[in-house]
Amino acid sequence: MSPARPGTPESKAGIHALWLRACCLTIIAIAATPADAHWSFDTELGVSYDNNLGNARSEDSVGDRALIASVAATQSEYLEHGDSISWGGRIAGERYADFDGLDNLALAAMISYRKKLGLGPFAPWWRASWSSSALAYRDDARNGWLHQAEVGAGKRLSERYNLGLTFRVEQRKAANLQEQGSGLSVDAFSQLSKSLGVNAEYAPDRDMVLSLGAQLRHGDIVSTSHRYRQVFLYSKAIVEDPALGSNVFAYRLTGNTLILNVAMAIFLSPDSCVNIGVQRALTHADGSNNYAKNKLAVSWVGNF
Amino acid sequence: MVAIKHFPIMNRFLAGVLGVMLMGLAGTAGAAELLATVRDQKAKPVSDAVVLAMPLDRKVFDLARPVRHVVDQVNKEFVPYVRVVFAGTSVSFPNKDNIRHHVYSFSPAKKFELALYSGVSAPPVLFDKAGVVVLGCNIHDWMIGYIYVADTPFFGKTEKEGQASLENLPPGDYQVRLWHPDMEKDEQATVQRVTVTDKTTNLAWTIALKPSFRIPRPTGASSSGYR
Repeated sequence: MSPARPGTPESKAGIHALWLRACCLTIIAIAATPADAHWSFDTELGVSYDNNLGNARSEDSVGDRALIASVAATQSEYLEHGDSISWGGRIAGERYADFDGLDNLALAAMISYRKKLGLGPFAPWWRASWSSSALAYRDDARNGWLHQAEVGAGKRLSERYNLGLTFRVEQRKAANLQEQGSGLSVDAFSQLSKSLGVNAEYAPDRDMVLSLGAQLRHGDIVSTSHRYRQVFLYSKAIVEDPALGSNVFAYRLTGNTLILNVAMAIFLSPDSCVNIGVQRALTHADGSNNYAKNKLAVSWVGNF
Repeated sequence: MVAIKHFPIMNRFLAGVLGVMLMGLAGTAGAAELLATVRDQKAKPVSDAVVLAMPLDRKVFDLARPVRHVVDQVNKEFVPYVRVVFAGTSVSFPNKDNIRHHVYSFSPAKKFELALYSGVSAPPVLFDKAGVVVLGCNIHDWMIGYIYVADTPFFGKTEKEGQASLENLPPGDYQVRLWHPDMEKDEQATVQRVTVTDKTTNLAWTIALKPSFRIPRPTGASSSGYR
């Protein structure tokens, strides 16, 4: 099966189908909600810039800015002793300025269970969560499913300091595969990875939270570049990647990535804040294929 | 008559009845007002400071009958942030949010827990021991509030202008002191002795406050992860 090219009726149909699914799920969720239940809505609107969209070597790296928007609807059922079960959905979109093949919508369903080990704000807690997302890109080759299972734990050390740990397993399954040629797989966008992260928060005053996070990720990564023997030799799958230019290919490799996050949240009101985040990711993939990328995002988040 | 200006109308009425009883017991011909002004180290008015007037003649509040008070939960906050009650008072905790709260306190003056409830289903809590009671919600960790359980029925709380009026005090000698959640020093360091007559008595304090800080609400930011 051939992938739909950007802007073709086939690719637009994928996005339209996702919108249709979103509307159907929303109607079902609202209809299934008890009359006294309360939905919490988180809305995010912002811009981002990624200097290496394709996780490529520096000579092949391309950057672009994007508008980002999302709406998440969550319902929580609180149990005894501060435990809770939350479930909901989220629809998120990205629209790129130049690389419009990367424009995408993601529709996610999620559920989590949180256990608090004691009473009060300083009691430790742990959480297990699951989410599944349908991904629809303008360039259909990236379409697919993203499944994430995560366990996390945390403890607030004081009014100002908060600490959290997470372990996540992530599987991305590509939906549209090009025709299999002879030799290497073309399933470059399917990935499996595990990551371990730690995040610390510090609140210098009551209207601001600074956070510092580090994550170690092991598993599949996708790198898009021109043909290089060193990349080819260690690739598990290769496919053309027209979303990032002509004559470039997406390679699936195995690698380790160190991700560092620094973020600042400035509260505008009790229910809204501005988030500014910087992320740096350093990847060491098999065959000494090393990549670095930086990402900046500024967004407004409101809760209703 | 004892009347505290920030009380709701019903509470003021009941407080007035209590005051009349106290006045009769004290055998006084009139009563007076004590006007307290509180500023911080930067000369800014201090709100939510509790002003307590302890009569040296304790007989004046032998007949004091506490009235019922309320601490609401509105938009995931305790309202008011500081509530002053006389020891022996019951306080109700109506939940005006459309989600459930789990109100608790670890404070030595009153340990209690009102597990998950909505509306007005939680029973009132009796505060019979003087002291500071810190309130929290086990669901929403940023929620914090204070109940100051006073050992005297003569009290007030400063408003935004940093002033509190304790009206209709029986004339006599009082020790007047302050408490505030962010006060650096112990409240005993704020004691002023004053003789209240049938005229308005003015008292002023300048107190050092620590920087006010509360646990922030969650930011709600999404994490797109690594792609």
